Amino acid sequence: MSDLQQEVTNLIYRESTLLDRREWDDWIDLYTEDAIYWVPSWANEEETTDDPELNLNLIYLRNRGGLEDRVFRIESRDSYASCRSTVRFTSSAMSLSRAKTAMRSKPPQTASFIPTARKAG
Amino acid sequence: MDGSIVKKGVSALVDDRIDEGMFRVDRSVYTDEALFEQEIHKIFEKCWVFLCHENQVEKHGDYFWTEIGRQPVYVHRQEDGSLKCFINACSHRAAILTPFRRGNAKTLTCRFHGWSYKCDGGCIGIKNEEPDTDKSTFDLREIARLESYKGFVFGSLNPDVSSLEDWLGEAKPWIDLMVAQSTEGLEVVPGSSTYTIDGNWKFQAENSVDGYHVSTVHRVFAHTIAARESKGEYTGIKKTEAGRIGGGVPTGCYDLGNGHMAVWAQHTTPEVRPIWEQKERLERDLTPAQVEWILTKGRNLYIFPNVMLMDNPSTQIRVMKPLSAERMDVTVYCIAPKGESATARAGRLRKFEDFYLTAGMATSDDLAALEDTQEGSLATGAKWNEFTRGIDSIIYGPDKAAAELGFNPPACTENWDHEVHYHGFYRQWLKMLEEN
Repeated sequence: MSDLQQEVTNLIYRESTLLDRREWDDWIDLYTEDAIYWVPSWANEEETTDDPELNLNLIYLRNRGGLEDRVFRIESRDSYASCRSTVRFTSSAMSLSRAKTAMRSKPPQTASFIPTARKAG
Repeated sequence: MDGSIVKKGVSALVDDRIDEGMFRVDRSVYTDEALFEQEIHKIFEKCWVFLCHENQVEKHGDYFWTEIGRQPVYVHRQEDGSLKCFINACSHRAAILTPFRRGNAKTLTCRFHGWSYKCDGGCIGIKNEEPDTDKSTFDLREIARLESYKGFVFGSLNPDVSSLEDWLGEAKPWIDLMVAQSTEGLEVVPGSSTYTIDGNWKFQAENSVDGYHVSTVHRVFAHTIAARESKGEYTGIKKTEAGRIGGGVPTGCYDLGNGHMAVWAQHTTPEVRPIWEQKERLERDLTPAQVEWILTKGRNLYIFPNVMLMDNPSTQIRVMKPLSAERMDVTVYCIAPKGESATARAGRLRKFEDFYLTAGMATSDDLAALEDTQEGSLATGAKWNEFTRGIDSIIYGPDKAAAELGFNPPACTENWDHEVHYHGFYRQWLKMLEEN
């Protein structure tokens, strides 16, 4: 594993740990002000949507403020859905920086998260 | 099954005594599997069911696979531009014929044994065909009825249903308000989300036109957006109507007949809605009441039994597929006016993602509440769900807002905290279960 790959993988695990521990401020600090948080939706069985301005996404936050909204919501203790425990899976951590020129439309790092909420008990 | 409420008779499940100020429903209607089987056969397989929007099957060969109740069907655009809808199962040994939920194929070839069918359902190929086979006996079964209303495609397995327009009735002016938002027609935006809810389909029907929960379940949404806006953080998203969610604005709820229901609430900042850019065009083309309704009233429409059309924070088609008494699949699409500006489209999408979707900040809370009501419904020790709010202020016929737009609801009140529209829903539900 390259040093860069190791760094990226560690970053993903660090993010998950911060979320598990509900250390929101440190989580937000992992992102730059202009970070885009994008989870596309399925365009069909094989492809996800590729243009957030024209297609529907599951999440598309244009800057870090969108993440702060999510923290506000959880910390309010007033969100029905947020009173659930969360199980998080991460996989496919990958650095695309070397391929950046060829894949300009793709983000420099990707990872797959499968957060699933479940009720306590 | 011995303990099923079906055996005891369905009429006892709805306690309809509005003259005495009472309307309540037995909670086992959300949990009883034998009753669910009855609903599939007597409701979903007997009335008009929403299938898709014409925009999803525009070109010759475009197909769209969906369900009527639990039965797989697909809509297929014909060479002459018309639509046909077939049972989506190979005539040979039942394999689903369409490889994907949506695609284009002028002939469909079964991936199991290679039988093939023309766009018009005719069987044209049998692998290693035996002599003297009459292939026409294997033509696909077309569903009994297929009709569109202004782009919204509905089908029925029942040849005896009334015309679609008669069935939609007082819901039509509500659909018209959506259709009128573009001179070029509506389009379903690429991308969708399908999720499974551990809940009965009737809870989704109820929730989609429940104004009463908004100021509790979505209070946190309003506060979150207010916090965002206080930081000046709504570039490209545009302000949302926190005031509408908090309450204190004009509202209404309608029983539209045939089990259809609707609610609306006044927008406090209508100028931030994506449709506002078309104000002048709307004023030129439509009546003042229609313009007022489109621009300033957030609307949720439920069309019995399986589809909801929302024009509230964003514009949505929400289709549900009942799976069992305690489970359903829901698919949501963003439907939008063709030809709107890039800014309006992006704003519409951002609002959709903010509010709707399981990863959004409002629908997720709705679903948590819905799944809790499902669990709570096992509490047969206290067996009634009451729908009595507003029962003393029912208007039989149009209220002021309905009269202005020109529709005639059997019953309504001028308050979306009320529950009188559910009476129409459960009367239609019971009527269909009691038939045959």
